[in-house]
Amino acid sequence: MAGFITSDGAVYLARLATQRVLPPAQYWLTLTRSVPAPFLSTEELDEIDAPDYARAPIAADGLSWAASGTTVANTVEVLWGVPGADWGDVQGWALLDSPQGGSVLYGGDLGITWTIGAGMQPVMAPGQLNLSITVSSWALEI
Amino acid sequence: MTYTPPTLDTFGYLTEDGANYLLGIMVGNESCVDRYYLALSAVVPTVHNSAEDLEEPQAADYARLPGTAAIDWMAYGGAVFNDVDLTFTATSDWGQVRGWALLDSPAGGRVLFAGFFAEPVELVAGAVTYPRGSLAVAMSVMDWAISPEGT
Repeated sequence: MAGFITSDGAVYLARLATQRVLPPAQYWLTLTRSVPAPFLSTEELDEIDAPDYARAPIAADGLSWAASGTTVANTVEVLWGVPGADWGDVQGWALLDSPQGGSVLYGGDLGITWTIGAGMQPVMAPGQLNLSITVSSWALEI
Repeated sequence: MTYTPPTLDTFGYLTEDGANYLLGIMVGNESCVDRYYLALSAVVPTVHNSAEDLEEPQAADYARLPGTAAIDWMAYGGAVFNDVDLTFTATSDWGQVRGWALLDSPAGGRVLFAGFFAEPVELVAGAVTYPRGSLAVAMSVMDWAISPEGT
């Protein structure tokens, strides 16, 4: 289930590396009904719009992620709420820096259509969320 | 000697250690360094290189460029570039260099970013300046990957 950093995510990493921003205490993972594009703003995300839906938090605390080479993976469960009603089908996901609004840092395709009915709490188990960087993708000009 | 680096004919890249570094900052596993250190190398660094793999000039007056605080690097869009002039001052000949690296330490350390010159550069006594904006790292958003597995 391939994913990608977004244009806002690239800006964000550049700003992190130059101390223009500090990482937030936590990130927020959302489920989307369609696969997000790399250049989407949060307003363009096709998030679940059920009244009881909310993005799921994951901490950026040095404990919730483990590094292996050029990849980091979650070491804790990412839990959404328990749907009180059907949330419908989702096909994509996005990682953001805010529980509402914010910037879309990464996005991806679930690779399946995930049908979430009432009472079916979505969970991402430890090790299932992998953030990787392809090192050959950077270009530098002098 | 004042050497002005050419534009658009040398290239660089994020290394494996650099990727690990950026992800580490992002998820809170480490902090952004206060300073980056610019090194020159007789060989072109690869994305897999450690500091020991670099062939830095052996001249007694050579040292990695100090004072490249993280804040001296500017983020513009998805790119990072030097926001100040970066100048090496040699009092002896340093020989030929083909590459450069940005590290997190004045000695040893990790190679975070690296690059090569399109043509080898012969460094003789004098100043070598990389003007503001002449070192730029651009990110290609389409080639990065993140995936939730098993969902």
